[in-house]
Amino acid sequence: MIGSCCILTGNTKQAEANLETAHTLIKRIADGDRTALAELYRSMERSVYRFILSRLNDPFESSDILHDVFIEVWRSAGRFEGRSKVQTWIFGIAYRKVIDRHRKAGRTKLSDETPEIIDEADSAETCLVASQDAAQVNHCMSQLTDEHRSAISLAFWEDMNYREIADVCGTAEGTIKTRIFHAKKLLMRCLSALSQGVTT
Amino acid sequence: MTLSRDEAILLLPFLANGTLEGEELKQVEQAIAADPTLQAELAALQNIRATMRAEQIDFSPGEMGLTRLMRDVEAERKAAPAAGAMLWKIAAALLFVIAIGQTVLLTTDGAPEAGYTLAGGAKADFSITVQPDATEAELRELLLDAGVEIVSGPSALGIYELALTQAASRDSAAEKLRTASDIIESLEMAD
Repeated sequence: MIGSCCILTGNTKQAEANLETAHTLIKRIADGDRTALAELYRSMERSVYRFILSRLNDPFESSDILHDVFIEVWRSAGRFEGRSKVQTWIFGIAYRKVIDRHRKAGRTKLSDETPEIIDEADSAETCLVASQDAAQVNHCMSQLTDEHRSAISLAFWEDMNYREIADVCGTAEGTIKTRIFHAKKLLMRCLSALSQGVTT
Repeated sequence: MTLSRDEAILLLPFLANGTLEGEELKQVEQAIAADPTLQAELAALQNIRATMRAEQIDFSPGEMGLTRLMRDVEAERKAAPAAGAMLWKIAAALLFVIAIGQTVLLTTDGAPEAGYTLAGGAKADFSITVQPDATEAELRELLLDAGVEIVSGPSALGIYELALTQAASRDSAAEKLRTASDIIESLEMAD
């Protein structure tokens, strides 16, 4: 069995070396090999679940979506063409399933608004303390829209490059760069506000 | 080509997560080298990333989720052959109906009194359904022997309506149809 923490995550050389292994797993799944599905599940379950949970904030609903993601992997493995990394393919499935869930639930985007009292030029410096506080980072992440939160999560949790994030979200690379730029600004402004004792 | 400051700012998060490579990496590094604001921003981004990555999730479905997944995959795997068999049954039923239709056409010479009349208004004496594996030849032989003919059907549920030919007795025909259980799946007599 392959280690459970790093087979398909990150962009390290080890992950690149494991790329072929991941593609082999998908081929085996396409051939109906359930042990390969279990292996893939064990290697990716936590990171995919964390990504889904960060967008839904509901453990039960997130568990259901995770289940649906791997059922789709089982059904669609034969159609995986290997043009993208297995990791981005699976996160792409998760990304779309959460969007479908939002649509069904009729959820609207959370507001992007953050306090306007902080000077942008000072944001980076004033947010340094708050950026080391998990509770404050979580709070500011929760203020972002789903699109912004997804992009930041993929960049910082999964260490994906902008091409891979564009692949997951089914959009252009330029869109991802500007999406993350705006998300980053909102995060920093929120953290700066918290550092200065302003309630967001 | 040199990156502008604005372009470099867009790429800072990817410098923070270590995914920039080659010329792009060099240019972003050059852009921030002489820009304290960008350096501060990079430091903040690296902090945010480190904070996010340091936090562990308390719960994930883990092995329970895997058990559920394997159970559903197994159920799906078992259901797949059954669905295939159902398709074959439907295909066989369609072929059977076509064969019956062709037989009817071939045995009808145009005269209303000869062979099957298939009159929509003809009164039915029996309703039957046919065993899925019964052949057209077996059914034809049974119907001729029992002295009945198809007057309508099959319906969407596979029901054929049968009427007695002039020479046949209702009780005798019913007995023959009832005893041919390898061909007739169900039999109902009309009022």
